[in-house]
Amino acid sequence: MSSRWLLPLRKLPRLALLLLIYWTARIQFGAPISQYQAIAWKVADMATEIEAARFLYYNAAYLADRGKPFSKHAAMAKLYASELAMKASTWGIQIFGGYGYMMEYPMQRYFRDAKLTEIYEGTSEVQRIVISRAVLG
Amino acid sequence: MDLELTEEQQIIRTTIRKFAREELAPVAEELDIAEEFPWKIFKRIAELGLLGMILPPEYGGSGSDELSLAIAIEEIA
Repeated sequence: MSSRWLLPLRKLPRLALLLLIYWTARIQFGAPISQYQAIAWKVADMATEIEAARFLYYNAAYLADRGKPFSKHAAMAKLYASELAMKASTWGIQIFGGYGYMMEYPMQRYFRDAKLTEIYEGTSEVQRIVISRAVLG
Repeated sequence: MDLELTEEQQIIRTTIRKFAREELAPVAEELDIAEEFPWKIFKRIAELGLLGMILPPEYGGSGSDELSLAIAIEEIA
């Protein structure tokens, strides 16, 4: 069993967490969100970036399924999705206000989970090393 | 590049989505607070064949493709 099979497996949870954060935001603010354009536009931005992250990952999986080189693509997907998870959850905390910080509310968990995605299974710095080496040769 | 999901991938998405909504979502928060490893749920995930999804059948896996795995984990989140 080569590590080829395990590589994309390590990249997966970031995207997953990211989507979780997005849906939480949507459910929490479902009704009032359209009334505040500052929030509505931010939701549009996050939804757009989440879609971009999803297709970065799909593309890496697509390449892996066809036996083509995918390390760079997987690293890009992991980096992008992890940092987007942090962006989205930081914004989510701000929207929740004080509740975002409190242990009694779910937002703090999404924030902790998001931060973890920049650290485990290859930090964002490691992903940048992989990507830059692939680009610069 | 074909962006349509195969029938198998669509079935995986539907099945995992149902499992996540019915069995994971209701207990996720209390598990985080209790700081316990959910062995019961872990065994359910094994029953569904998710643990060895991309491993070849001769090693006890399901032999799925990487994209199916991506879809499954996305649904669990």
